[in-house]
Amino acid sequence: MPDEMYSCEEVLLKLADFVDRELIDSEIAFVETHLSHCPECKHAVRWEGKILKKLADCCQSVEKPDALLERIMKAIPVE
Amino acid sequence: MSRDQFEQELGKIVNQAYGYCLRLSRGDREEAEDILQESSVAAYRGIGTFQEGSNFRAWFFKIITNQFFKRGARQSFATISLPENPEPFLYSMALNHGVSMEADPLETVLAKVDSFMILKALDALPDDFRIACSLFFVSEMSYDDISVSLDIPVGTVRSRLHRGRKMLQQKLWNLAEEHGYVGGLNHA
Repeated sequence: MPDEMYSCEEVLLKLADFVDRELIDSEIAFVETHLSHCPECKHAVRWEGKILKKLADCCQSVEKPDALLERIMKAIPVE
Repeated sequence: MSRDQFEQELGKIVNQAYGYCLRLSRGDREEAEDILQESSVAAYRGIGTFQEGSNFRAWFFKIITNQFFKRGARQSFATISLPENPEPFLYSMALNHGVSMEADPLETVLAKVDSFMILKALDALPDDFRIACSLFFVSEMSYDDISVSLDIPVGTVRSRLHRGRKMLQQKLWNLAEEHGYVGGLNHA
């Protein structure tokens, strides 16, 4: 258990980096310690994660054209 | 790298690459495929610049981004006014309008906001933020890899993603209000 803990404000400032998995290990530990006893921040993280996943799903689930790679490779000259 | 190897590497990422091109073109499927095709030709011609063993996806997405701007894409900038508090925008607004913090955002605030509306909101962001956010959502690359693909410092990636996502949440809240969902009450 880390000796240092973040305040709510510190956690919220690091929230985006936390959900993006861009924090270093010690920072992750401080955030997780705070979340373990702060339901408001824990739900803020949960909301952010769900919204980001929804946004990613929207961008990734678009219909792809058929035979896309085949058409692309036909446009590349054979040397 | 041989032609076959190039095709193999491209095959692994072609769907993601198309998804990125589709966001660059703001949903224009024909333009997206043109961008992707031009980028693929440019990438194959410039394959000598790719370092074997390095990140092909980040390198290829960099070529796509450059190709997009070469096509004469207008860069849009806007002065954005965002709330100063560090709280996530949608969560903060929802709580202020009486939504329980234990609620599911997808079943409450965003219940009436569909994928089409979400993508249109993303496509409406100013270019710097739109491109960074689109690349992030399509590819889920790390900040370091996005930095390579957009040829900007990691700190700038972080700033554009965080501010872009906050702007996007602001737009999504506006959509939720327009479509009758505010503060836990469904307005018919």
